[in-house]
Amino acid sequence: MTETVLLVGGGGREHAIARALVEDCTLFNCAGNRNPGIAALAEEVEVLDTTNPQAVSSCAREIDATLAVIGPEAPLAAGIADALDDAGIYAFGPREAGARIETDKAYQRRFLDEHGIPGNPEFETFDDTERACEYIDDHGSDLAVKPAGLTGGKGVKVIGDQLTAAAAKEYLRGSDYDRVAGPQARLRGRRGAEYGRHG
Amino acid sequence: MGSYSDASPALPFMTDNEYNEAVSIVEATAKALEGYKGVLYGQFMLTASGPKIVEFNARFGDPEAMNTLPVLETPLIDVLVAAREGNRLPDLEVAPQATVCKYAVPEGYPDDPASGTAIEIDPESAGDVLVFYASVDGRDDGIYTTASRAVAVVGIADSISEAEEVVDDALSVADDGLRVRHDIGKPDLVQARIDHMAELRDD
Repeated sequence: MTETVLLVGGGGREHAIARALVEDCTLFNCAGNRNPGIAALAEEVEVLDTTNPQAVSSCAREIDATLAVIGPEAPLAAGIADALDDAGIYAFGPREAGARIETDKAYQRRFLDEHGIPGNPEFETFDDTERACEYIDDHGSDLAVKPAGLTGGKGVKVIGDQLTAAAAKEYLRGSDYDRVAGPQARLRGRRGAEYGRHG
Repeated sequence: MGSYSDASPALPFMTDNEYNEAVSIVEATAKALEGYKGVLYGQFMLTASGPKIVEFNARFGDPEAMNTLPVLETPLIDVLVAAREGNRLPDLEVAPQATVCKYAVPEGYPDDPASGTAIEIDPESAGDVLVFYASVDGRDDGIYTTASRAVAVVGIADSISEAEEVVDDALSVADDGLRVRHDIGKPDLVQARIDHMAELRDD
């Protein structure tokens, strides 16, 4: 039986997912934008708000999807996988609670700590921005800071590389987030790839 | 702005042991996450005392999905169906090839991006690369930039430097109004990473 797959999201990543799937299934796409690369592969593209659970699950029902793949993090944070699962359409992507491993950095560090996962750097989380700033004052320059929550890949700032300790405090004070994850001990080393983590 | 993968699972600046250590961290985390489904993507920084967790993501990386999916030989649909059915996931077959992915972004991105630039790929090189679109505006006469990341070009070859060359050739005509990190995946940059890690291990 041929699977009917709804792919959620319209970026480069989803274009790559579409390419990997298109030969082996009937592919539909819903996204906030019409990606011409995906449009060339999919049966149809429906432009909708991918963080609206009802809109995505209605779309999946209309096309009789047997599977859904969720590309970006924002729909996961909005419970799109929960809505699809509840509609009887298996979503390849965690439910909102599972996605917290990404969407809530303070939870992420605590989770890794509680389960004794190796490779978790020292960290502190703060509910009070001023306490975070005091921590920066006390612990010098080998720190990275991040406001809690999804920041579109632009949240982490490394003191020394990207900004001074004073600028880090300004950054945290100026953030619209209620909580601050980190500062984390800065690691001396090399990241696994050269990314520009830009939106 | 870009990412690369090697023909072997480890990257040039890490040992196989360090790579395996990172894999075991991802596996331990996946096991601890009860009822989790979908992709778990571990992002690491390699240090003198092994890989350390930068963060976990609950989905494929962007751009990294554009490196990994094109060399995945196991049909992705088989993975999805096995996950849905609760069956054992297929062992993933990955082609032993290197990949380089570079994003072209509008001039001025991300602070003051200039939109409306026509996106061109050198036609002579276009056959050698994969082109993935991100946020672009498809018009009747072509494809134009918006204020966000526009297009990613992926080269697949036997080595990182060969993959980098085909990507840079394809993007050679795309520079007007677009910005590309030409250094990503170039031999001297990769060597600088290898040297940096060697220096840290010696400290």
